[in-house]
Amino acid sequence: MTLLAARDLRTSYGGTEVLRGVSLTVAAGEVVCVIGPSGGGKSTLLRLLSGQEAPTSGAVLLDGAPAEPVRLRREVGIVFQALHLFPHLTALGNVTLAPRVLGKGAPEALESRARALLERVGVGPELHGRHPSALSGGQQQRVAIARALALEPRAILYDEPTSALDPERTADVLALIRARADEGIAQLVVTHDLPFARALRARTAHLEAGEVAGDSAGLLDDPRDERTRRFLRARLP
Amino acid sequence: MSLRPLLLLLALLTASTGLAQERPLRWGAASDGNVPFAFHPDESDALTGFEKELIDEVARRMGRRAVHVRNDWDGLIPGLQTGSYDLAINGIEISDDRARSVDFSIPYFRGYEQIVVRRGEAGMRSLGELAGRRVGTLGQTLALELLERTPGVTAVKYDQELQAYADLATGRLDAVLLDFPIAKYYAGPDPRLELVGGPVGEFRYGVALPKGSPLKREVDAALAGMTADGTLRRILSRWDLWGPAQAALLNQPPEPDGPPTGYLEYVARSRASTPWTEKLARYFSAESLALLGRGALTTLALSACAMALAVVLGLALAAGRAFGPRPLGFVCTAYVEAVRGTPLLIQALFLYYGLPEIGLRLPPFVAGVLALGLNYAAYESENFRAGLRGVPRGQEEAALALGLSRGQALRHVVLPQALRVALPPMTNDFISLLKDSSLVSMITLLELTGAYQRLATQHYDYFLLGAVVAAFYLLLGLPFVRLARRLEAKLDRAR
Ligand SMILES: Nc1ncnc2c1ncn2[C@@H]1O[C@H](COP(=O)(O)OP(=O)(O)OP(=O)(O)O)[C@@H](O)[C@H]1O
Ligand SMILES: [Mg+2]
Repeated sequence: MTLLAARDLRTSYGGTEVLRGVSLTVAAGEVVCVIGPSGGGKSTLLRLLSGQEAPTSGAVLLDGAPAEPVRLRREVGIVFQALHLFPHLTALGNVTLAPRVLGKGAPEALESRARALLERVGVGPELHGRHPSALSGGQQQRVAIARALALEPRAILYDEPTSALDPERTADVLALIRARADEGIAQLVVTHDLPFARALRARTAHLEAGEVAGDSAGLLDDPRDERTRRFLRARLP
Repeated sequence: MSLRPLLLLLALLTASTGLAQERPLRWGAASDGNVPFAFHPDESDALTGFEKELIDEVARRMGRRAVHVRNDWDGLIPGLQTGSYDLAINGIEISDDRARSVDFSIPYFRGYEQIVVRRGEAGMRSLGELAGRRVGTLGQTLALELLERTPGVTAVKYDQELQAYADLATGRLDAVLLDFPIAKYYAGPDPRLELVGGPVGEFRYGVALPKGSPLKREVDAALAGMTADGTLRRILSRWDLWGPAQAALLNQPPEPDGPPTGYLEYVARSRASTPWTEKLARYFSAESLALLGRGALTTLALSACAMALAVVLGLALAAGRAFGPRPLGFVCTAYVEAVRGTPLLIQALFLYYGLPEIGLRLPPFVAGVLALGLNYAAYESENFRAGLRGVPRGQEEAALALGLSRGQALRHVVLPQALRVALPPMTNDFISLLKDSSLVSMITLLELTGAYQRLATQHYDYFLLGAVVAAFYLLLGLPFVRLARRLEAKLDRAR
């Protein structure tokens, strides 16, 4: 059953249309991968889906009904490409900030939940008190995912989750995403990294020039659209 | 149980209620240096001097209690106009110029200007002979006017008579031209200096009152009475200032009435040339330290209040510029540029002496806090702005994406980080503010620098006392220097 959906999203910056009618769906427990050339509109799509911006036209649907950005911001988590962890807070502080400020429970309860969350994404207790500057890239990524999970979102969006990591660490990210899928969370993963996209073994959408050029489970192996074929050819070794 | 403490208390109570019944007569005068008019003979707050004795007697005859209000000499007339005191008495020469802005009592002293040179130097016995020479004097005096009217004389203006004579002794000046009483007291006892030539010019001292002051009649009556019954002659004789000139002015016998004890005591005190060890011991005496300590406390309180104001207002200014609507941002920017582009001293003088003209009279401490606080707010707002600019956009975006409102994002994510950038320079600014607070000694506040000036002019020693006061400033600033270091180190770790 579709949890999060884009319906004919359009948006433009200063006259140029960046998204030109994008439709896409993600079901609970499903992982959808989005690939496409730089400037194709992938990050813009994530901003609309996470409620950071409102589209010019079209709608983002939650459970089939149009949802306002305010609601999306609370129900859809996002892991930024640059992570944007809060440097003045510890790993634990990063995770507890939003629930605390939004009054989601007593401080002790929030803290033990945050600790559990950090452990769930593989951040050991010895790291909870560290500031982001004292964590490795992979550890930071996990904290960012834990932070996105803190408000118990039903969907999580990832923008280039492997771009800042050593190739060896991509397997970890893969495992983290799989685990979230098992928890029933809808996930959308934007990536440049074709091996990683293949390893996800997920339905894949190709976004180019603000349009969905293709969207299928076999897109990477059996591209139908000429634009997708060209894109994949250019990136093959 | 002894009754003595109780009796003492009772005595104090009756004394204070007795005093309370007398209305004060607030008289403005400088008290740094200012010999023989009204000066501190020691480190205590006690004043002496011929004008001090004179005004005490005038007040007594008016049925009032004389209360001294300290001010810089240059600020005496402005202070009179702003109502800081009822009258000013401080060797103020009666002139047509001044009479346009204040009323004068009948004169109580007639004198002339006196040339002083280094002992043994010849050829400077008259105003004309001073041509081609550097001659020191005080601002706004007849002496300065005379010097400026004499062709070829380079007149050098001083704030403190002591500094003029010190520069003469060390050769920076060729001569000093000042009122005879000043020359007699400052240069007379100094073996390196010599009073030469005859009287130059002539002036009369009068009590200055605000234009139209109803007190003028009473002051005149008191002075006339003191002249008639010989009280004024006795006071001037005590200070060795009685002579034919006074006799003619006041229509009294020319010979002094009584020994010049005031003068002799003064000379005995200033003659006693003390070795520097003894001087230091005197500077670290309980009384000196109490004066410096009080000054230091005032400096600290002033700086702390001013910094609190600067931080709060600075934050508001930075917020107005970063988040406010355009017109507000423009006003904030204009404020910052205007304040940073004008000298702090002008701002302080404007607040203290300028505002009363539009009916806003501030006590010195408040004026000082405002001057420093409003000034430093401009710099703090820049620190905050730099801090805000130093926080990447992504931080706010991440907070918003987590469902926080803009206000929550600002408070919990952006501001704490901006503060980290702004805090170390703010601590440094506080140390600068501590030092800049010395400027407000200009607006009659006796803080550390004011205490220094008072002690220095009293002991004729800017050197050793300067070192002592510098040490005080260092001690005051040191905790904050260390705090700044610790903060920087701590923030670096949390980067
Ligand atoms: N705030 C903005 N103002 C103006 N133009 C923008 C803005 N944000 C994005 N764009 C433009 O929109 C287009 C799509 O940008 P977007 O960031 O979505 O691309 P992307 O597919 O994520 O690219 P990449 O793979 O490089 O991250 C680009 O041409 C970009 O220049
Ligand atoms: Mg992008």
